[in-house]
Amino acid sequence: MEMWIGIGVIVLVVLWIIAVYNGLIAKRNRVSNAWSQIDVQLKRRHDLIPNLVNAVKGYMEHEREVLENVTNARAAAIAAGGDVAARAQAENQLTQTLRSLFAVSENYPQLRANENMLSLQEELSSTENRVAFARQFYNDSVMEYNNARETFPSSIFAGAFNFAPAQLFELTDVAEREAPQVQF
Amino acid sequence: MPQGWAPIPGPVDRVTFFEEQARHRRATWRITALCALTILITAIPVSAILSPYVYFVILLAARLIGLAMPIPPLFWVSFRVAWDTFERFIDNLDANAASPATLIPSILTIAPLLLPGILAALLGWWLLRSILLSGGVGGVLLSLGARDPRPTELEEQQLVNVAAEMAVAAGVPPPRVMLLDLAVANAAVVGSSPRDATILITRGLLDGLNRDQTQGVIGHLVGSIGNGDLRIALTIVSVFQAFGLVLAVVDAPYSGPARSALWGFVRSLFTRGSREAEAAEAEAVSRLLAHGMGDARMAEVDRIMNSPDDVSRNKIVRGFFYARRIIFIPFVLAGLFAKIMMTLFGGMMMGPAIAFAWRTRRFLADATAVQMTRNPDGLAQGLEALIEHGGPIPGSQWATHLFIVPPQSHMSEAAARIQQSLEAMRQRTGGQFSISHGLEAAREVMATQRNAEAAVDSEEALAQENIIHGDFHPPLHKRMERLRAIGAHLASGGQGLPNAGRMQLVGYVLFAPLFLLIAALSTIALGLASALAFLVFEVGFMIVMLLLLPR
Repeated sequence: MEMWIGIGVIVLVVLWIIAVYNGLIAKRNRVSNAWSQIDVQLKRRHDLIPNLVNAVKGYMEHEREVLENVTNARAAAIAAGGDVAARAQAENQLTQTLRSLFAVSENYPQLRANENMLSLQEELSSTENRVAFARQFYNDSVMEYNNARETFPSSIFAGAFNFAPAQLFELTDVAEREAPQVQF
Repeated sequence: MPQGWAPIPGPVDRVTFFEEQARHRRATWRITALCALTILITAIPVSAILSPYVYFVILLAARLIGLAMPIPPLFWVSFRVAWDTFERFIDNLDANAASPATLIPSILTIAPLLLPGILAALLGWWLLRSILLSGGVGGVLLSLGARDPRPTELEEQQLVNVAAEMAVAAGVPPPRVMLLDLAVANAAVVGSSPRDATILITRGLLDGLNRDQTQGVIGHLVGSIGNGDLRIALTIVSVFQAFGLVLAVVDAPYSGPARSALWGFVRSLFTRGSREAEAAEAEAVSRLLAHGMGDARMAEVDRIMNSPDDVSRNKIVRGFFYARRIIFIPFVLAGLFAKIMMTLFGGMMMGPAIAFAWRTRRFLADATAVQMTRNPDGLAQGLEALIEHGGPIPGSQWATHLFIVPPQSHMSEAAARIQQSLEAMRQRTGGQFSISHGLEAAREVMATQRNAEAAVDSEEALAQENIIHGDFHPPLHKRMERLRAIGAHLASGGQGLPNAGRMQLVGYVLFAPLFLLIAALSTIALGLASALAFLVFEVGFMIVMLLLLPR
């Protein structure tokens, strides 16, 4: 009799471990899926930039430096690869250069009225929104995965099965960190 | 940064978003179970009425075939056993009716006779549901002339982008966006699953709403895709179509449209074409089956049963028509009773529950939209703008529940148009009406009325359905209230969604006596209807067996 109870308990424990393992696998897959979603949107941004530079080049001949910054930042972002923190930093840098480009383009009214430019602006702003939403989604899945990994009963097995923690994608606004510059 | 761009703040309290989404996707099975229960409950009395008809057909066919070739005795034995059980039930009826304790078990002995009908109803519903699953709901809306967004128009491209953004936020694949070139403002979502969804937007919406409001509306639609509402819509529609299917079967002997509806149904079971073809088939089947529940059906029955006696001088032809009418009487009666049962059990008893479940989903989609965009004002203003710029959408009668706000009815549109033309006339003539003006006005009014008549016909059928099981759209003021509550909740930094349950509970307590009265009356009505159905079954079964079962 006791033997059967013992076997039953062991079976239950094994089933529970299987459930925990499968749950962690599912959450980890969702994290990588969400990451590739961010990747897709960031790549979309990378692909839009050459068109933007070409559209702008004709009008903004004197702003070569700004255009070069954009192109270099884009190359750096593409080269940043899979490490989340480095990637986040490179993408931040790209956002900064884009921001200066658009700030400068304010001085060129013909450029603002150009249909092609308007369409590109719309696409870029939509891509920014999508990156933000994808980041939300990614961070949510990271939080869920890390919670599942670290809460008590599952944490025992997470280490045993080699489930590494995932990193949040901190796309913080570098400009907001800098002290405001007072210009006279 | 480009104009109109604002960084979307990272949400702090979205930990529960996944759990909520998962919870709502799980709740979907409950609504499917509710629909299955509806079919079951409605199938019992309907099967009681229609089973004698089915047994009649089976036995008649067997007797006729039996003249040509032998039928296995097992067939007749099973029917004889059924007949013996039935006779025993009738003989003991007086004794058993004395107390419910013996009555109910004895009723249960003949319950298996109803089983084929119930199983057929469930099977029919399941098949309809599979047809809809492959074709998706709302195919009719696609056939209204929906087009792809033009790549040259910035506003339309913006629309596609907004939809893709919301899809990224909701974690679903980006839905296809199509446009309807109508002046009224409205939006709907069609399809069968998140992978297969299409959002329909009218040009009126694009023109009338700004970006925030459009984003709110699209957030609602994409949120409802993510919550699995398309599947639910499908299941609900299949329930009402199953009713239509049964009526089509009953009407088939004497009604052409019913026959084509049945043929369409059978054909779509075997169609495996492109997505568009399947959607079109599913839509044709819906429309034809919906015919069964509408007033047009009654008009047709009327026409057949009341055709004048002097249709022709020839006595033989007259005799033929007369005989035809006599033969059709049982079918017409069966159809009439079946429709009454469906309206009572399906519409009155279970309908409100189903409509309530759908309305809950609308509220949920509103809340999901706010959770995704963090901007309740966008959606709230968007809803108001939709009502303001709204209007009827021709051809949408049987898919109104898929729209974000209900398209306004054709009756009011006809009235409005008549009013408009009268106004225009008054302005043209400067208020001086002459006889010719009067005639012209009368002609215009009649033309407008005639144009609206076809729409009004199915419109009335739908209105009757709505009266019975309640509107599929929650009232606007309630949606605004909830949005405001969510907005206040978000502003104060709350977590998750506020709980509106407490106020509802107070309302229920206050109105309890009224609810009890309604419940009591409904129970009595349902009880009487069940008794009637049972009586019809007894009589019908007896007649059929006595006529056709060989001694």
